[in-house]
Amino acid sequence: MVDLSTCIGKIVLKNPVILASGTYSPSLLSCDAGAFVTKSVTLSPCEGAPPPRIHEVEAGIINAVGLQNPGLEKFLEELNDLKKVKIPIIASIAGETIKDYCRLAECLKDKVDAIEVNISCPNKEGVFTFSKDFFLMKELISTLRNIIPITLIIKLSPIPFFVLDAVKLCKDAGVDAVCVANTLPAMAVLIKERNGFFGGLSGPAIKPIILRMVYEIKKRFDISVIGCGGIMNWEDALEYLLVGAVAVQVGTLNLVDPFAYKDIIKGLKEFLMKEGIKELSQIIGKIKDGRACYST
Amino acid sequence: MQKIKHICKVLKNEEIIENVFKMKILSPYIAKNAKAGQFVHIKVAEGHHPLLRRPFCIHDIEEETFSILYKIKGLGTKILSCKKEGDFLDVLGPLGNGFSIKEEFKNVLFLCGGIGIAPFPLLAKKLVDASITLLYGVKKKNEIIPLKDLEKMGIEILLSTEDGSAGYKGTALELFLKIKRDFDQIYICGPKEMLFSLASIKKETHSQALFEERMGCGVGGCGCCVIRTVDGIKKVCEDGPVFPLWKIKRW
Repeated sequence: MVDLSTCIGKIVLKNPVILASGTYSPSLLSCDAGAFVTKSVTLSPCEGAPPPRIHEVEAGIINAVGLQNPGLEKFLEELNDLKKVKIPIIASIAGETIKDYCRLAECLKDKVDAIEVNISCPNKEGVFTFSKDFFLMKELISTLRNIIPITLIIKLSPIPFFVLDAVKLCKDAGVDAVCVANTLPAMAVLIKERNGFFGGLSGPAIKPIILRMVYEIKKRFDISVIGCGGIMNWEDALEYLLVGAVAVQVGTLNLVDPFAYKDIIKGLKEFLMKEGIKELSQIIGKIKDGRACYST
Repeated sequence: MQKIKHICKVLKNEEIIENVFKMKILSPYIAKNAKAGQFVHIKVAEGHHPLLRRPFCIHDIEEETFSILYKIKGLGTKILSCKKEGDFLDVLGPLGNGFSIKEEFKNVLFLCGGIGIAPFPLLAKKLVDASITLLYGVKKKNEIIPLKDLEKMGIEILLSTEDGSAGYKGTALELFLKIKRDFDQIYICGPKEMLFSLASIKKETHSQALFEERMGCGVGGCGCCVIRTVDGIKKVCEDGPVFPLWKIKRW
C-alpha cells in the first residue's frame, strides 16, 4: 500500500491535498481531503466587495470577493460544525493591524489544528500592506510566532523578486511553512462598458509562475512550502511535489468541480503504486537540477 | 448528502428563435428531484477555456429529461449551442432553493422579460390548481419566444414590446404597473435591473423573484454571487436564486 501522508509543522495530513481558503462549501466537506482552510476570518464582520466579484479570463479567473466573512464570533459558532468532519482544520486569519492578527491568533490557537496568516489578499488594501512593507511583515510574523504554539503558515503574495525576501523573513522567524501563493493582482478590461475589473488572478494561467517560485524557494531555503497555483489535476499536484512542496492547495479547481480534488488524491496514489514508490515523501523535491535560477 | 454531479446525455438542442436554444438533457435524477426555480451548473467544455460552469434555470421536465432555455450571450453559451444529440455534459444540479408554491396561491402572475421566461413552463406545471396570467415583455416582435405550450395550459398571456411591434408598447414593468390587478402571488424573472427597479417601486409582499448573478462554484463555497437583502448578504446560488422581492436591496 502507498503512504500519502505528509507533515506540515506539527500536523500530519493523510494526503497532501488541501482545500484552499474561500473556495469550498463547508456543507459539501467530507473527510477525504488532506486538510481544509477556512475562509479568512477578521475580527469584525466584513461585507466584502459589491458584485460582480468574479471575472473569467483565459485559463483562469479574477476574483474580487474582498474577504467577506461573518467575523470572529460567528466564525467560532461555525467552527463547531466544521470539526465534525474529522480532518485538520486550518484557520485563515486576516486583519488590518498587528493587534487584529494577534487577537485572532490568541482566540483560535487552541481551537484549530493550524493557523494560516493571510497577508496577501490583493482585494483588501489593509491586508495587502503587510506584503508590501517588510518591516511591518517582520514585526507581525515574529509577534505571531511568539503567540502561536501550533503550526503557523504564512500565505504569501506571488510578487516575483519580493517573495524570496519574504520567505527568508519567515524562515528566520521560525514559521512552520509558507503557502505559495495567494492570487496575483490582475485586471480585465470590458470594452463595451469601457470599464476595468480588478482582483486576484488564479487558475491554470498562473501555474508556471507559481511553480517556478516554489522551485526557487526550495533551492535556497530549508522551509516547508505548500504549493498553491493552478492545480487542476494530479499531474499538476505532482509537479509541485517534485519541485519540493510538501503539500498542495487547490482553490480554483473547487469552483470548477467541488469533487475533482478526490481525483487528485486517487491519481497521486495510482502514480506512486505504478512507480513502486511506497511513500509520498520519497518524491518530494526529486526534480533534477534545472537551469540557473534568477539572481538575488 | 444529495447527489449533485451528473454526466448527462444531450437528447436535443434546438434553435427556437434566432440565438435562443432549447436543450433537452437526459437525467432521471434531476428530472425526479428538481423543483421549479432551481438551476443546473454546466461545464460546457472540457479544458481550461472556458473554465467556469454556466448556470441555467430548469425550463421544463418531461419523464426522465429536463430542459434548459438559453440565449447565446458569450463564449459558454456559444459552445453550448453547438452541442449535438449524443454529446455528454458535466452537470451539477439541481441547485438552489426554487420557487415556493402553496395551495392558497389560486390566482398567480408570471412577470418576465426576454429570456426570463425560462423557468415558467415548469412552474406552470407545478401550480396545478392555479389560474395563471403571464405578462411577458421583449424589446421587439422577433424576440418573442413561442408560447404555444403555455397557451395550451390555459394561461392568459399579456404581451409587451418596447418598440410597439406587438402587444402593449412599453416594458413588461410598465405594463405590470398599469394593469393594477390583484394576485395571490407574483413570480418574477428577468434582467437584474428590472428586478431591482420593481423592488424599489413596489413593496410587493406576495412576490418571488428569480435572480441571477455572476457565479463561481454555484454551491455556496466561493462567495462570488452575492445579493444584499434585509436579512443581510445572501448567496444567489445557495440562499436563492429565488428571493421574496420585497427583501431585496441594491448594494
